[in-house]
Amino acid sequence: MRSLLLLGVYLAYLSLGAGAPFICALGYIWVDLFTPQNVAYSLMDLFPVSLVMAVCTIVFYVTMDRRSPPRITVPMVLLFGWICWVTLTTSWAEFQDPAWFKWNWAIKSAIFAMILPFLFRSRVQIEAAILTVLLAISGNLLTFGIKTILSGGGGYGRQWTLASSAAGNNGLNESSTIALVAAAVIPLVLFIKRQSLIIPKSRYLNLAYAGIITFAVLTCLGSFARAGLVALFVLVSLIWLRSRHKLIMLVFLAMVGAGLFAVMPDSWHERMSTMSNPQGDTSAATRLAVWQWTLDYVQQHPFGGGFDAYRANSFTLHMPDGTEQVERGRAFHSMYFEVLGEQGYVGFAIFSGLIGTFFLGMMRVSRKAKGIPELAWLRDLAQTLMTFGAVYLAGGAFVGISFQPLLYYMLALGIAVSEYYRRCVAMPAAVLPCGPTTPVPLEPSSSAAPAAAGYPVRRGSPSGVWAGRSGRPVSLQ
Amino acid sequence: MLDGLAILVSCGGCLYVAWRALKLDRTLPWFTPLGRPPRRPRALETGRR
Repeated sequence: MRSLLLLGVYLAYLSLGAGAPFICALGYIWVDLFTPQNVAYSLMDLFPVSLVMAVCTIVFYVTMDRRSPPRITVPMVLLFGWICWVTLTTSWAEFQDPAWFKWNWAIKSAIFAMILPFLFRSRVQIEAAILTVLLAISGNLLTFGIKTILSGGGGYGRQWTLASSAAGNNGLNESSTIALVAAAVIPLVLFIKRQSLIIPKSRYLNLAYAGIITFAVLTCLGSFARAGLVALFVLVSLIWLRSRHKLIMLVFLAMVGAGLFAVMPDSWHERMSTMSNPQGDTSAATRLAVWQWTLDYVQQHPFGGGFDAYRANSFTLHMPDGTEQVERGRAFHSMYFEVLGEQGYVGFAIFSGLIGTFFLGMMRVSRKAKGIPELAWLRDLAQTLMTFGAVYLAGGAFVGISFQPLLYYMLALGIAVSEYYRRCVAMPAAVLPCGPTTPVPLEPSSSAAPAAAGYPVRRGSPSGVWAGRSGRPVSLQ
Repeated sequence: MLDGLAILVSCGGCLYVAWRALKLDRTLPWFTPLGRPPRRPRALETGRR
C-alpha cells in the first residue's frame, strides 16, 4: 500500500510536469529529500527514480519551456568550477572505489543546483520549491518529534525517520544531520506563514505551522545531537536580532527555552554538558583529533585527498582514565574540514566563494528591495535564506554535510532570487493605453489589474508575455 | 501507523503544492516590472510649439 502510494505520487509529478517542467523539478526535490526509494517497501527500487525524474525535467524544459533563462553569474560559474574540481580530485583520490561511490551521489546535488535556476523563475515557482523542500522533510520531523515525546525525551542514534531501515546511517537518518536540518527549516516555515501565495491564509493553518515548528524543535532536542543545539542557538539568536520587539521576544524565547530544558531527561543534559569539556568525552575528543589530522594532511596534500580521504587517518587518543585508544578511519564530522581534507586548498577556496557569493547576493537583494512594496516578499525571502544559511553553516561545523542536497538547494534558490530581482528591474514599466505612463503594481491579488487598467493581455498565453501599447505582444525574453 | 500518517501528510502536501503552483503559475504574472517608463519625445508630451 505504501509502495503503491509513493509510486502514485511519483507518477503524478511526472504527469503534472509534462504540463509545466518546473513541476518535474519539484518532483526531483521530493525524490532527493524524501527518498521514496528508501521509504517504500518495493516498486520504487526497481528503477533509478532520481535519474528518471532528472532526465524528464531537463527534456521537458528544453522542449517546452525555456522562457526567461537566468544569466550566467558568478555563483553559477563557481558552481560549475566546484563540479569540475570535485571530479578532478576524485580522479586522484587516495581511495578510488569509495571516492567514486561518493562522487556518484554527491555530484548530482551540485549539477542540479545549476539547473534549478532555469526552472524556478516566477514567485510561484520559487515558493513551490521552498514548500516542497519543507514538506518533503516534514514527514521525518513529524515521526521523530512524536517518537521523542512518546519515548520520554529521545536518545542519540535513534533512527526514527521514515527511511531508517533501508538507508542506514546516511542523510536525514543520521542524528546530527536531521537535528541540523530541523533547526534550519524553521525560518522557511515562518516565511511561508508570512508570504505564501500557494497556501491560502487560515487560522487553522497557523496551527499547522506552529505544529511543524514544534516537531522541528523536538527533533532537534530529541536527537541528542550537539550540532542541533548549536544550530538552534544560532537560529534563536538570529530570530531575536531580526525581531522588532526585542525585550518581549527575549522573555518569550527564554521562557520557552527554560521550559524545554526542564523537561529534557538527565541523559540529554549529560550529553550537552560535554561541549564545555570536549577532552572528557570520547566522541568530542575524537573530532578534535580528526580536525588536527586534517590540518596536517592538507599540508602534505594541498590539492586534497579526494572523497573519503578520512579513511587514511589514524591516531591515538589519551583517555581521561589514563588508557590509550587507537582510532582509525574516523569521519571528518565537519563540513569545513571535510572540504579541506577532500578537496584541498583550491576546493576550500571555491566552496568559500560559493558561500560568500550566496550571502553577498542575498544582502544585495535585501538592500535593493527595501522600500519597494511589490518586492517586500522578495526582501523577506532573501533575509530568510540568509538565516537558513547561517543556521545550516553553523551546525555544519560539526557534521560532515558539505554534499547534502539541502545546501545546494539553498545556493540554487539564492541564484533564483537574485535573478528574479534583476528581471523585475530590467522590465519596462507597464504602459497604459492613454494618460501618463504609470508603473502598474502587478501584485498577485490584483492579477486582473493589467486588464482592468486597460492594458491588454494576450489571453491563453503563458504569463511571460505582455501586450505592448499598440496591443501587439511584446516578449520579455 | 505513525509513519503512514507522516507519509500521507508529507506527500499529500507536496502534491497539493504542485497542483496549486501549476494553477497559479498559469494565471499570475511572473514578474513585477520596476523599470522606469520609456521617455517620450517632448513634442508629443506638450503638444506646444
